[in-house]
Amino acid sequence: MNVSITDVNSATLVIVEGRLDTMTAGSFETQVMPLASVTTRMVIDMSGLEYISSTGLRVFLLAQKAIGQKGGSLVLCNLRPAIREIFDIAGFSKIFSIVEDRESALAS
Amino acid sequence: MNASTKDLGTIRIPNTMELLPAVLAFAEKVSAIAGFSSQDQQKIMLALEEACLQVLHHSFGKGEEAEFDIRFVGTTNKLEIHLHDMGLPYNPAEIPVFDPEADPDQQDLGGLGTHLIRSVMDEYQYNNLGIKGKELVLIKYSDAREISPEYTVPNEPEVVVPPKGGETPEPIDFDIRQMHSDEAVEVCRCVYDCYGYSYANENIYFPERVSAMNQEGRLFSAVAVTPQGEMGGHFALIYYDNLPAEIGIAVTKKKFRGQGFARQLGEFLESEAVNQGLRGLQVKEVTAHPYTQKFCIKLGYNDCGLLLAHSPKSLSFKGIADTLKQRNSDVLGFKYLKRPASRKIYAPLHHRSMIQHLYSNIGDTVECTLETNPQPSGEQCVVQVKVHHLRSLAEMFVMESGTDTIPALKHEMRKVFVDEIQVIELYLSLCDPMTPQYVPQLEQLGFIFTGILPETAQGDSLIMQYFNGVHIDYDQIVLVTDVAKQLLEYIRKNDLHAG
Repeated sequence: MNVSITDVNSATLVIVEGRLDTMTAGSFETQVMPLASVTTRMVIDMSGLEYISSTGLRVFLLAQKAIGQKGGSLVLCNLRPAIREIFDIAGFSKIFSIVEDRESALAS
Repeated sequence: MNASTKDLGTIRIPNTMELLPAVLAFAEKVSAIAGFSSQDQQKIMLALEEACLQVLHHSFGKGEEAEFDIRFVGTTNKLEIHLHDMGLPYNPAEIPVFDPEADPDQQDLGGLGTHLIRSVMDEYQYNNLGIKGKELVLIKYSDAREISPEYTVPNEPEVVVPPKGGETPEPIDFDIRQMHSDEAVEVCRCVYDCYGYSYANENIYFPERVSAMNQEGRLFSAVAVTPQGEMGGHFALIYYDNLPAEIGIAVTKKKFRGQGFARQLGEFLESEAVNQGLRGLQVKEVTAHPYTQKFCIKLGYNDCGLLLAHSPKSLSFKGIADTLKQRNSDVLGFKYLKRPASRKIYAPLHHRSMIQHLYSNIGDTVECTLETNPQPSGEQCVVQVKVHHLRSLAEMFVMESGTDTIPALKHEMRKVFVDEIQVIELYLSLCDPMTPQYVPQLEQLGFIFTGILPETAQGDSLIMQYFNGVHIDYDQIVLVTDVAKQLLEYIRKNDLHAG
């Protein structure tokens, strides 16, 4: 699992690639949560995310709550169909802002 | 294990995370070899990861060093993954139930793993084995070819009714025999001809699954074939782990209705059942119309219960009852192939009269008794739960009673209702002196007694049902026999929601 972080147009852009499973979710949380606690706009580009399990989903929810508490926004983009399906099953598609591409996410 | 199932490997791992990636990599390889698509391989890995996490988090005490087994079994068209552990006893109160609709601010994702397992796997079973531990079985079917790409749907709906009196079709000399493996696709077409795509057992629309189920011994298909080689109909023996074999999936192509080969198929199957040493057969008879019930009476089946709302509304009968107004209810019929000895059963006092009436109806004699101070079999009950998502139905079997039976059943109810399962069918052993104690408690929860069934894995069983958001319109149920009508009125009287 790889995570790269940049600032784009006053938003924190997180690009996550690989697998978010029990073994890697801890590292993702360590990298994302400090940012989620300070930023008010975060975009997570998931085009390279191949797999996610419940431990990975948990980190997304934690990030959403942290940013939401400050009145900020978290937008997800470029979900692969298999990942989108898992988000649908978990009910996450209703509670996360999900858009098709990075440009739309950064513009929102 | 029979010739068409293959042990693909068993892994025994310690109860730590370190080897989880290796287990998932093994699962990915096994599922690739089994022919699963890359998307399904990912789903299998996800379900297995979540299942392993459950074992790791809930089955062992802090600091306890232990192991658990993961066994991979492949058949012609599916992969089974069996997780078995001898960890902590099952405690229903400790396992949360995930609600995907919960307020995000309140959502803590407890139970999400179980929810994901159920959603990405085709079937699952979980067995509390008492002192033998716990087992979770995950099942995924490989991609299979449906009949639709090759079958031309008729342009105009054909409305066919059973022949009226006096109409006799030109008799055809059908060959009644066991299905050949390469005839599975024709069987599927027969089912479509009769039911469209509304038959609740979706496996019957996949030729590879029909063939595999016959090879694996889960189905014994008999067919009627014209001298020209055209398939006229199908009837089968369906085998279950916990219930007596069922005679079912009776379909006759519309053009051959009235030929009378269904009865010959039934007799052929009964002869096969006797040869297999089966002691009795059950049959489920739809109540949207009377024809199946009349046919089963002719075959010698007698009513022993009702399975209300057993099948979803989508089950229709082309040309006979095309649009069902509610979930379909079945009459449960039974026929002994080998008469059992007279015996004692533990029947709840307030249902004893009806229970004896049902036994008498199937030609059986039982003595109803009660123990003055019954004790459960052990500390922990053994409950098996089978969820049929397509039917929105869960079957629960109390294999062994325990001091925790009622709390365990309550917890299982919560779990299946989160999955929006509409109907629970609960089987309680009439050989267990605790059953008369449980029935009133379950009725307090909303269960209703709906019949009995001999020759289950627990001996004779008492059947109770629970309806989750399903209203039964008793007046819509079409019944033929007096016993079925009496039972329906008996059930209606006890149904607090009945109109």
